[in-house]
Amino acid sequence: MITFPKTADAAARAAAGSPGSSFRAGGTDLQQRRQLLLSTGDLVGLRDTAGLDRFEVDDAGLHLGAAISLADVASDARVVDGFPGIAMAAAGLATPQICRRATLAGSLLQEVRCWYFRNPRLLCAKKGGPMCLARVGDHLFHSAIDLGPCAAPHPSTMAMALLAYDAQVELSDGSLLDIPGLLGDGSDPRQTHALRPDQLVIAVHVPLSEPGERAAYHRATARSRAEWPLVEVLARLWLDRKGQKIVDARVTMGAVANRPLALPAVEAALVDQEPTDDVLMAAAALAADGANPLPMTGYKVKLMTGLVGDVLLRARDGGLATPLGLPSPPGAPAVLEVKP
Amino acid sequence: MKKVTRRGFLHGSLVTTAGIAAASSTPGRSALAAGVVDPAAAIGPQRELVVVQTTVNGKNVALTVTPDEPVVESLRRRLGLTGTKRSCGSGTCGACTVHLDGEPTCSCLLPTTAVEGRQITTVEGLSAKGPLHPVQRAFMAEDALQCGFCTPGFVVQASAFHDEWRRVHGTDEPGADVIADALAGHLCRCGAYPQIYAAVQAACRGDFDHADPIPPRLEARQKVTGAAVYTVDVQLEGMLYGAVLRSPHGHAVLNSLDLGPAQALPGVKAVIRLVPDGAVVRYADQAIAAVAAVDEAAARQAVAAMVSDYTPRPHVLNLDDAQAPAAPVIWDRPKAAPSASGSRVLKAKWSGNVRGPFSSGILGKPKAAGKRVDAALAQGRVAALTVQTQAQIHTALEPHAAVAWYKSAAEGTERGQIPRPTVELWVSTQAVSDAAEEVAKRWKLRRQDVRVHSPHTGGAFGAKATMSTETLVAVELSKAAGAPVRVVWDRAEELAVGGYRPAQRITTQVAHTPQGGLDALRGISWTNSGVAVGQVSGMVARLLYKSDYKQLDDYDVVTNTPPGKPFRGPGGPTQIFALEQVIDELSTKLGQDPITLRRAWDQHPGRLRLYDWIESQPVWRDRAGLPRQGRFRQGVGVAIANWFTFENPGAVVQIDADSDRILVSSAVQDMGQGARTVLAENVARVMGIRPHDVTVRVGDSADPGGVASVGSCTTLSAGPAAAQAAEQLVQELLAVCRDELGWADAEAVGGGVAHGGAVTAWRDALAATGPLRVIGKRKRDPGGYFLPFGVEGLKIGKTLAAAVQLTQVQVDTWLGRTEVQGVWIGVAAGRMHAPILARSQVQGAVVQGIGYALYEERRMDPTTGQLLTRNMDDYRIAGIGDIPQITVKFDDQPLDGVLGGGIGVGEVCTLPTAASIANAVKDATGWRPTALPLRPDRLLEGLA
Repeated sequence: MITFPKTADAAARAAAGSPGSSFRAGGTDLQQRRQLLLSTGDLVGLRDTAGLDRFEVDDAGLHLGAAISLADVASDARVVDGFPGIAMAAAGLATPQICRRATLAGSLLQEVRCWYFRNPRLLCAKKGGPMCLARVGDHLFHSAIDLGPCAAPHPSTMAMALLAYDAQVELSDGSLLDIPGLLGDGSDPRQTHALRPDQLVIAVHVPLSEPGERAAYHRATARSRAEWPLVEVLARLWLDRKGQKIVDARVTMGAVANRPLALPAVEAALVDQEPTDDVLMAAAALAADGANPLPMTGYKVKLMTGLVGDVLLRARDGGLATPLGLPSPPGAPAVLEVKP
Repeated sequence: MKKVTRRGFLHGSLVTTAGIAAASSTPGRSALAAGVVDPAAAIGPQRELVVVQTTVNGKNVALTVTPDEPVVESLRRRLGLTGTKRSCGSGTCGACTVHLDGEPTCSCLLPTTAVEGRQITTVEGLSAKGPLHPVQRAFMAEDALQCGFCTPGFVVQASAFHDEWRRVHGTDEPGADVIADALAGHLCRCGAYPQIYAAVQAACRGDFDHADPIPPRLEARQKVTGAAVYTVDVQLEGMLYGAVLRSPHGHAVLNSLDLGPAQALPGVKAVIRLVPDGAVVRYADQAIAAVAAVDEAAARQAVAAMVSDYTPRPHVLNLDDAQAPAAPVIWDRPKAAPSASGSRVLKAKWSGNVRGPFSSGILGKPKAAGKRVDAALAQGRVAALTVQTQAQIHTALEPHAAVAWYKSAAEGTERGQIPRPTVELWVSTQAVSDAAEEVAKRWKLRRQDVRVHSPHTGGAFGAKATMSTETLVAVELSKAAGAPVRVVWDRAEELAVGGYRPAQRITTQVAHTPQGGLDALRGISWTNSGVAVGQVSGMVARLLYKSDYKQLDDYDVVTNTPPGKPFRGPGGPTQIFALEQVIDELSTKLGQDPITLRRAWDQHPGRLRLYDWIESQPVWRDRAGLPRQGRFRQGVGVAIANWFTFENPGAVVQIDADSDRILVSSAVQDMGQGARTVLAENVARVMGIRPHDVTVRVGDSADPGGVASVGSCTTLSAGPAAAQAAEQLVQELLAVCRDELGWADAEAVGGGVAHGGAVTAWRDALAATGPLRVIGKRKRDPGGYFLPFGVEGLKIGKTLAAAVQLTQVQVDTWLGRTEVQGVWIGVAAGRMHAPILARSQVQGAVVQGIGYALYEERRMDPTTGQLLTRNMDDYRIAGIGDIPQITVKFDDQPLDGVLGGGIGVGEVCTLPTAASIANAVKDATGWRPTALPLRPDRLLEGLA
């Protein structure tokens, strides 16, 4: 059955009354899961639901309605100027067509992209099966910081970005959750987020940034565009007025664990330091602390340090890193020897 | 909006659900391996219909749909707007893109209920008001399309980009990066990307604001407007929808299959089984049974209702496991192993799962070659490499598709004739005539009672050369149901069983003489074509460098994976990946420039000229200055390849000419390689008219001819036949003019007949003479053939097609990414019949080669044997942003020995790409890749 409630409360009630139901906003991920019979319950369509399209900046920060499209997040000047990392992350994910339909809340609550989960003939732990099939099978693109029974990395780039911005997620029952609270601890492999079925995301609130922020986002992929990341990183740096000292730093990383991760050790190594290449690389070398890769994901450890280094450079230099003449990767000798 | 609930709309969903629930709870019913579930258990009832009011191409429409129906289905099925294509089904490829309130959106993931009160514009609507959009014109003019299946999506997206760009930037030209960003949500399997860049730039410059161009490709207009009809677009009255039950096991015995629950469902019209009880199922996704029902949902539900019971057996998926001592033997009767080449399988020895060797060196001195290599090894005169490649899936954007209409004797026969059944089919195929023959043979019909159409084929690349299961199932179901039946693989099925280039392991050793000449070559190849055998690849390594001393042995290693199929230059890219890297190593070893060495060893006269062109490129001349240290390192690499010349001597082209039109017809097919245009160009050249003055019909097995598009043979087979037909037409017309019209001095000139001091245009001359029909047959090549007899109906020419590719790469040593920055490819294949289309095909071959080298890889689950890369996010083909400028140079000196002066280029150009990229990576980093694809993890490991 499908209903189109007019209010968020009514939508939440409809979902509460129909176990196994799904909210449908943009429908991009859900439609695919419906085709694969991974979602079979009733639909609570949010097409006509009022109050999900707030888009404003005030003294408290940025307020984004749950149904705002990722394309709008990526291109709106208020986000681009005041919360650049969020805009860059939204611009860097999926394809232009998907970003026009996909909503902010949907991107936070989408399901994992694991090829076991999305094979309708396989019963993995996320679908209530006895074990994670990727662990005993092919997990080339899975976690390298192994934090839970499900080996699939969390798929949400926006969650990683909003973690770096200390965002709060407002629910239909009035409660507020931070990103870790929204996503949960992953101990139950069936849950990719911690919301109850009757909890609907209304909006995301992002506190104002301190002045002087420089942000950068990048993902490691094989192809140039439109590919799920092997690792993705967002960095926010605040330099003093002369640009000689890092006053504060926030660095988050995705696609390596069952939830996006903050990197406090990297941040600590940056704060109160000069933003030199050496300092950035030394900080980046800490990015893989705690990595316990699966047998096939050891390469992600190198990618983590490499990508954090890349993104810190991009952030410091206020834009794209220049393609040539950059220092060697963190933790590696200054010049890699060319083998005969 | 109005809601409608109609009980049982989806044909007995309640019954089905109950039946499944009962079956699922039966103990011991299924011996499914741990973790394998039957999707049936998840199906829920869905009887609900919603009415949606929306606007499509400016017209208000009311659509009655289920809540999950996507817009692409509503447009195609309910409104007949088949220009919008469904291809990947997961929002990745963009073929289904439409404008939603002016914004390009994937309609495969867009629920129809979401478009209530909104405006949709499809490709048909872009030019609904009359003139074409500038982007459509530019795509036509720049030949920014090949098979055309992705084209509507690209055009819809690019038109929105163009309009916005022009609004903001006027007629400034957008850069490649901007275009790549805008078109990142589209995939083109033919690899038209270089021309798509050119087309979008030209449209944005304002080059196509006013007039429609005359496109180099005959059918370009149909393809940019969505009017071109593909098999998946065919809708017949009373047409049923087929679906297939597939094995969830990599290897198992089918104990029992109960079709009863499926047959009992309302809406189900026919159920057939394809595998008997007790049979061994040898790969996951093998077809077990099939059903035809009144719609797709009912068919899928019926498949889900079937109850099957298997005893799983151990399976093996790769070369090593299949050769392990304890490996299950997959074929106890080796003769039953199907062919992976599409040709007859030659005899060879079997041992367990290994078959071979088949020696391709038999024409030379293989034993002596082995001894020479061994002697050279002892003296340090050998360069060697072992490479491992992956399975590459063809991934045509139009999946395998068939619509079959088996008409029983009574309904298919006209009055006064002996009643005989007839079959009419639409098949996405690269061989309409062969398909008709295969169907006639299998169902014991006369050839003339079977007619196969494939007006446009949405990509094939070798996967659609022989009859496959979708056609078989469609015909059987149609016969059983007495109605037309449509069977179209979904993307997961296409990726699972649509075909693939087999994974190989190849060891290549090249010995040089003390003087630096070629002493001997030894290559041993192990090929995993799944359960199939007989794809020979060592032959390709034979073609390059002249020596009598070559030992080239092929082994098949059978595994529990679907049968491999020929894929563009079968066996070629792998052999060249091994051999051309070894040649690179050898040039280093001998202290020679890689082109100097190849020049010395190479015999191909056309390529010897092309080396000059390669050496004149600034990127080659200045290569010493590239950065080879630090994070980003650049390098260049060269590789060469040759390919066979195959010719179909049965090529026939008919011309029916009258005052209205010159209709050229032949039972060839156009999968984007340009068969229509080649026929038109040949006729037009003889008659001195424009190709667009000619009407061409291909893709109909009822027409004469019947050239399968395999082995790069279409152009050189059918092109000269078309020219021959045109010459006959001219002679015939002149004869009639002289003998019957009394134009004693009639002579053919460009555009018509000259007589009495004036020229009468062909059309007017034909009005005077009346309609004429001629049939042109391809004559023998003046230069003769490699063998006096044909092989599998094809003659082997004496000439080889040759290519040399130069590639520049940049390697990011932090993130493991290899970026191709530029490609220069020289091709020596004689005169091109349709040069602009030939350039497109060469670029496309390189694009596929880039995907093969860097991204594409089928992956299988070691535990269950199932395919993991079931969608186009996981199976990764190159996107537009991955493709640099690809500069194509033809050595267009005509080949005297070949009618028409030229041979095919579709295959030879995909062979050197992976090798030249690998050589460039070695040049950039000092590390030599030996495994494909060159993923970031492999690069990081290699550089560690």
